[in-house]
Amino acid sequence: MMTVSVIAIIAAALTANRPIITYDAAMQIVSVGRLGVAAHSLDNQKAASRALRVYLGESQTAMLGDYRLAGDVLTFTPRFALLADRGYRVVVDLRAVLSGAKPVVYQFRTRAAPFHAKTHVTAIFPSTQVVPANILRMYIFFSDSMSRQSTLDHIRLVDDSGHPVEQAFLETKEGLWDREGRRLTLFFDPGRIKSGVGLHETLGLALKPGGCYRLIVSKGAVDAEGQQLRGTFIKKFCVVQEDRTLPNVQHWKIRVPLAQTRNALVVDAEKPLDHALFERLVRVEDSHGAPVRGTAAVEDQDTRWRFVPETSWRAGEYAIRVAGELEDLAGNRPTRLFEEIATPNGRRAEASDAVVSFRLQ
Amino acid sequence: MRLQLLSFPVLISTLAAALTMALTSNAAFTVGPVKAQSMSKLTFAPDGTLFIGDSIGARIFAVDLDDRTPVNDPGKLNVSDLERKIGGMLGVDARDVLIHDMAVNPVSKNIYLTASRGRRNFSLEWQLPNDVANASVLLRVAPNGDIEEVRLDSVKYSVTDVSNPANEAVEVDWKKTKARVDAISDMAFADGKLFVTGLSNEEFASTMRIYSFPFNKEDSSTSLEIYHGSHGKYETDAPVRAFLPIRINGKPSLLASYLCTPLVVFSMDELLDKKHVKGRTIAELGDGSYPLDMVEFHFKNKVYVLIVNSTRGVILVNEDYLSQPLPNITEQIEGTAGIPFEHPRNVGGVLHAGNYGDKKLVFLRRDPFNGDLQLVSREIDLP
Repeated sequence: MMTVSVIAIIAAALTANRPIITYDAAMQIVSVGRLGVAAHSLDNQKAASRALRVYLGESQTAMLGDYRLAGDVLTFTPRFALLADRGYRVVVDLRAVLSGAKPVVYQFRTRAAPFHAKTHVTAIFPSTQVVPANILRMYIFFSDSMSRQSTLDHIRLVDDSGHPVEQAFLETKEGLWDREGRRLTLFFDPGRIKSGVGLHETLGLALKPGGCYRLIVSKGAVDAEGQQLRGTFIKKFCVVQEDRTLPNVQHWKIRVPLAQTRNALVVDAEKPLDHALFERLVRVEDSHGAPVRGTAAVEDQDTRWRFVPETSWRAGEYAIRVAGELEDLAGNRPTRLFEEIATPNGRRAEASDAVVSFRLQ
Repeated sequence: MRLQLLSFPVLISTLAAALTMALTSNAAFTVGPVKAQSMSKLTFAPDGTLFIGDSIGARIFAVDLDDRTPVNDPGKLNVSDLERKIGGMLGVDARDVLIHDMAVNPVSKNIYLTASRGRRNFSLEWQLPNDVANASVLLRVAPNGDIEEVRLDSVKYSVTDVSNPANEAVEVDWKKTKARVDAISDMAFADGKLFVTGLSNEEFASTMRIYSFPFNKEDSSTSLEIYHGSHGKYETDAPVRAFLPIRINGKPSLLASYLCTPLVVFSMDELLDKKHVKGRTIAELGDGSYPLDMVEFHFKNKVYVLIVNSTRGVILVNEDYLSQPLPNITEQIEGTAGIPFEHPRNVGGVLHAGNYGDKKLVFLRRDPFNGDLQLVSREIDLP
C-alpha cells in the first residue's frame, strides 16, 4: 500500500484540471492522479497502456509494465527495474477517452546512485586467512547475477603497502563465470606457479611467503541490472610456503552418525581444500556402490565436508568416494601433485578416485 | 485505498471460449497465468496453438491465444532495428536485448519471439541465448510490423511436465552452462503429436519425447544415439539442436541436426517409449557450427529443407536427395560429407527462419553492414 508521504512528486499539475504526474523513486512507480471522469475508461490494461506511457531516453516504444487503477489514480509499475542515472519520458495521453484532452509530457531522471543496491559479495574462498604461496584459484560469490563484462576491472590484489600485484591472475576476457553470473573464479597465473616456466623464472610467484595481501572487490562493479554493489568487499590473507604435498584421504577424520538417524556425516580433511571441488567431488556410497542422496556443505575454512542424507542412515557398510579431480588450494590432487614430475616415458600419473569405507551401527 | 489489478477485455472472450472448449473436446485447458521460468523454445500446431517449452521449469505449456484469423498470403515484411524497438519495451538499450526463439503462427502469420535483457551475459563463444539468460517476455510481430507484448497472466492453457529432465546441478564444463537449459532443445508439432528433443537425466542423455495432444499424463521417451563423423565416434550426450518431422521415401521420419554438425535421420516407427535408437548420419555439414533452425518449403515444385547454421549461413537440401539411397556415415571424415547441399543467393546473417505463407519464409537476421537485427520475408532465390 502506497501513501502520499512516500511519493516524491517530481512533476506537478500544470493547471488545476490537468492530471498530476508523479514518480515514486523508492518504489519505481509512475502515477497519474486527478484523472477525473477519464478514469472510468481506463479500467483495463489496453486502454491504460494507451493513456500512460513511459519511455526510456529517446525510445519510441513504450516500456512494458502493469497498470493499476485506484480511484482516479492510475499507476504504472515497469516490468523490469529502471536503470540508474537515465532519463525517462512519461506521456499522458487521454485523447482516446476524453475529447479535447491534450497529451502531457513529463521527464524525470533516475538517481546516479543505485536506489536498490542489493547485490553484494557473499563470500570469497578459500575462507582461510592463511594460504600457500602457490595457491591456484580463488572464488568470489555474489548474492545476485553480475554483469560479466566489466567486473574484472573492479577487482584488485594489493600487498601490505597497498601496491597492486601485477599479472597475478590468468587474463581472460571476461573472467570465468558460472551460468548465473554469481560465482567468479580467479585463476592465479599457472605460468608464475610452475617452476621452470618463463613467467615463474622472470616474475616469480605472485604471492610471496611471509607477505599479507588484500583482494578488493570495489563497489563500482555492477550487477546484471546495471546497479553498483552495496559496498566494497575486502578479503585479507597471509601467505605461507608453497604446498607441494598430496591431500591424503586416508588421513581424513570421519565422524560417523548413528544408524536410523538423519544426523550429519562429518569429514575433516587434514588441510583446506578447493571449496567448489570439495563440495562437488565427494560423495557417500552405500554397500552396492550407489550414491546416497543428500545435501553436502563445506565448512570450517574449507576443511570440513558435512553431509546430511535425505533419508535415515541404515546400519552397515558405507564408503566415501573422493573423485580424483579433488584439489587442495594449490591444485594438488589425492593421487597427483600439481607439479607432478613426469616419469621417464614423459607421462604424468593419472588422477584416480580414492575410497574410504566406514560402518554404521 | 484498494489497488485493483486491471483485467484485459480479452479475458471475457477467453472465458467464453474456455467454456466452449470445456463442453467440446479439450477439458484440460484452464484459464490462468502461464508461469514459465524460462521460455526456452516455441512452436505452433497447425491450428494456431502455441507451445512454450520451459527448460528450467521442465514443463511445456500449450497456449490458446485465440490468434487464428487466417492470413494466407501475408505481404512483404521488413521490420528493421528490432533490438532498439524491443529495448524500449524492456527498458534497456538495444545492445542488452536478447532474442531466444522465434515461431510463426501458421494461421495468422503473426511472428512470436521470446526475449530477455540477457545479451551482456555471454562469456564464451559457444554459448547460446538459453545458456546465458532465461527468456521472460513473449512478443508478437504482426504482418504489418507492429510489435506488442503477449501477456500471459490470464490465458487459456494446458500444461504437461517433462519427466526426468537434465539435473539442475549438472554443469556443461566446456561452455560454462547447465545441462538443464537444454532439457528442451527444440520442439515441433506433426500428426497430432508434439515432438520434443532435449537432455534427460539418464545415462544416454539425448532424448526425443513424444506427447499426444491434448496432453495426457504419459509421454513417450526414446534415447538417441548418432555417429558423429567429424568427431569420429558414436555420441549420446549432445542434444538435437534443430529437427524437422518429414517423410523420407514415404516413411514418417525425423531429420535432426546437431552441433558440429551431423544431419541424422530417425525413423518415426522406431521412436518407442523407453527404447534406445541409433540414427543414420546422412551428412556432415561442417564442424565448428551450430544448426539453429530447420524448415521445409516448396520452390518451383520441389521440396527443400532449409537449415539455419551459425557459421555456414543458410543451407538448403533438395529433398530429391532424400528419396535416393541415403548415405550412412560411420567413419571419421574431414570437413563435409554425405548428401549434397547448396546455399540461397538472397539471404544471409540468419538466426531463425520460419514458413510465412506458401511462398515466403521469414528470417530473423542481422545485417552484416549495419549490425541491425531485422525480421524480413523473402522468397528463396536459388542459384
